[in-house]
Amino acid sequence: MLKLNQLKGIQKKYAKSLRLNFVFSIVTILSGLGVLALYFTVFSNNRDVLLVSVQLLTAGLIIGIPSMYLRFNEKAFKKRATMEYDERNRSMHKDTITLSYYLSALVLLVAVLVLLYVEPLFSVLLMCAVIIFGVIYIISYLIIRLANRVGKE
Amino acid sequence: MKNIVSELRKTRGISQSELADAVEVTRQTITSIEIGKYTASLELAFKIAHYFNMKVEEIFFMEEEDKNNA
Repeated sequence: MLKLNQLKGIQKKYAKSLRLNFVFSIVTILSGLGVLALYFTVFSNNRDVLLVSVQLLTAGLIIGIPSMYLRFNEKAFKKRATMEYDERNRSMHKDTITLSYYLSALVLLVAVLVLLYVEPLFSVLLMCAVIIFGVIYIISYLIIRLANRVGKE
Repeated sequence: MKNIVSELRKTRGISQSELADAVEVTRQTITSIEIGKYTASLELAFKIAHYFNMKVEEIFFMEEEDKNNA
């Protein structure tokens, strides 16, 4: 098993993020078990409660199993850490987000125009979603700008 | 931006994987830098220069500089 104090650089960073993932998966699994307990006691025969429990347990396992595997497999861990922090991969990830941002805007524009003829209410709702995104974008930009603020010389 | 990473690596008999492991990037990134498809960040350029025990400007240079030197 990997020991955090023996790691350095990107491997240490990645080990920390894996530990966070593992804690998150434990919390999710415990929540799932809690909801399952509710299904067997208070909400018996309520299939929705059972479904929520199954979803939480599945999500917890999906997050937790790879984290556990990587903690015990040093070779896979090192490979994954390099891939995760590789600057070219990160650059491609940023480009992917930018491209998907523009494609989403195009799809939304077409959807708004089509819905305007089919059901104007949906079109307005979709526009509201776009406006909310725009507001969040501006707030995010201001936060990032504030974080990168530099004073005068 | 041009570089002589490929030449240096071949002269010293180092594989792309070995260089990639040493500077903590993937082998694909080293390939991309060598063929000029990706420009290394300043941090990576320094890591590569440090690995070869050379100055950054001896490995990475602008194309104009290359023409002037030729």
